[in-house]
Amino acid sequence: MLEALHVGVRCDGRRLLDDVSIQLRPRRFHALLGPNGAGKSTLLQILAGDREPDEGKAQLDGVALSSWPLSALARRRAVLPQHDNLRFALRVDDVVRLGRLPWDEAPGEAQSRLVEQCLNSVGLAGMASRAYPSLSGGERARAQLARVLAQLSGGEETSTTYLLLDEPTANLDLAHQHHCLRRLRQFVDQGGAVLAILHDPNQASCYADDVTLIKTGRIQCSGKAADVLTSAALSTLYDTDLRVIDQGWIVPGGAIETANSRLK
Amino acid sequence: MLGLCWGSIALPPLHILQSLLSAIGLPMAAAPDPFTVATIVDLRLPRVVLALMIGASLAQSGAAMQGLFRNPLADPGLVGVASGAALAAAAAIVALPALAPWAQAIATPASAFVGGLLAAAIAARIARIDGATRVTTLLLAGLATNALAAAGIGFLLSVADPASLRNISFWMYGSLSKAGWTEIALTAPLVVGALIWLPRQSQALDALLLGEAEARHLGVNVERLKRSVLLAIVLAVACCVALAGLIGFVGLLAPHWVRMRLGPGHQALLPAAALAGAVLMSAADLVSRTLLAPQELPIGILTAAIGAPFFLLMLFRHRGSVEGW
Repeated sequence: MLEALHVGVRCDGRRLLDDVSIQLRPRRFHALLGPNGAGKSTLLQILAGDREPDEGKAQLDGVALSSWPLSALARRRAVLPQHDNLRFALRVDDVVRLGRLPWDEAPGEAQSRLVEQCLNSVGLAGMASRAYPSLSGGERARAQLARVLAQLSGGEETSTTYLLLDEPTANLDLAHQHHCLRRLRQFVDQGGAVLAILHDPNQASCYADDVTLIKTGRIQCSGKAADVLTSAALSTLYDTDLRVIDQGWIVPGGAIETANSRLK
Repeated sequence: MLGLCWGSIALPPLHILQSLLSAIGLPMAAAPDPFTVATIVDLRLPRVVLALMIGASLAQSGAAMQGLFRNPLADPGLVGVASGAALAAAAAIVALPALAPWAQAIATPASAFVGGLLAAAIAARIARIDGATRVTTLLLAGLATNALAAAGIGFLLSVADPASLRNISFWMYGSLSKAGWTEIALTAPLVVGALIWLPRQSQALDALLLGEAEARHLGVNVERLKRSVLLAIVLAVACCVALAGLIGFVGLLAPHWVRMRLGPGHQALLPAAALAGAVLMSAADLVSRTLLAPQELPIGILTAAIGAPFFLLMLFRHRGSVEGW
């Protein structure tokens, strides 16, 4: 289990996180929702082992993340960044192949097949030989997703792998947003665990098992998606009128009223 | 081989072969005269070896540095390593004229090494914010370091005696004429060591192209990688400056040329850049020796004359695009 326990983070006298605890369990898709500046990305950094918490601890299978050897950790958890920094013209399949780095394996037939599978599974079949910078923003985001999927493939069946994603759907068109979330769902159903920062509560209600709402560095509430995603909780979270309507769809109250008045 | 034949005195290839063989002790039926043998073994051969070594080292260091900073315009010359090394070497020449030649031969490269390390550390430290190296800041910091070093060298030039003056101007323009077998033997372990060690970091450098946090997520110890690669580069470049003075743009030209053909993957890039740099350098040396023969054009002037317009062309071609180097 990958977890943060009573984590506090301070930066320049501001509290970015205050007494935050979160647990990622195998076969669970965990969505993290919150307004801008709530501390979502900071919490992701804590769970990725990028940052030492000032208070509390972050641990994988009971061992502090800072005590894990970097390459062993890299075989258990992968991180999909929000922005990509790759400006050099690596081939797309070479980008995905970088995901295999922590496995220290000889490049060969099996590796190439895995890379191809990962590219196919994000809808980039046939793009393998393209130069990465020539891809569109959405295609790049999917190539990065293929890279982190490749990174977590082929471990022992018994040890859970953890995929942390910072706004995985941000650059994608509507169809690819759902394709991406379905792919994450598949990863979870095969035994992995996902933590995804999302901005659309509807995506969380469709795909997530667990939801944590975070606001100004504190957890507002956390639990099963259906229990957490209520009109009251979401309206408090975003300081705006949000309503859960038919079949769990979440719509801003303002949007309903505007639409109604325009239809009259 | 061409580098051995052509020079202010042209020699036929056959003589060269004979000289080389007789120099390693083979009895030759038609041994060339001792003058020819000396020209080849003591003058031209070390030059050619030096050109290959320095060209390979500068080009590969440039390639590795561009990967490290994720910027194709990073060059040991642009981020202050070389000018820092030259300033320190000049300071050593001026401050320690009384030293015996052998002591100077050690003190000068040693201070060049320390100077290069310092300048690189300053530039890299300034450019690092929140653990990420800002490229524009780095280049500006390198620019400032270069200006500072130029001021220091200018000051040293104005207080130096004529003998030191000549020595310093040798550093400023770069030349392969000074080094002999002793100097090569002293620096070869470091330079060749770096040439062999750097390609072993190819995969980690590839991962670093994704970004520092991303490389760490892939299990790369980024801080250690940056420190050790930078150290290897500074070590090699400081040796090159100590041997031959400032020779610019090789570290920019060769890697860029190779990257256009083989792509940015370091596995192929680093050795190929070394090869291209070696070829480029020995060609430049050939031109520098023959263009104004019997006089010699400082090789640093030649590489700058070719490299600077090329650099501008690169900037021109890429000025509109954020990506796609």
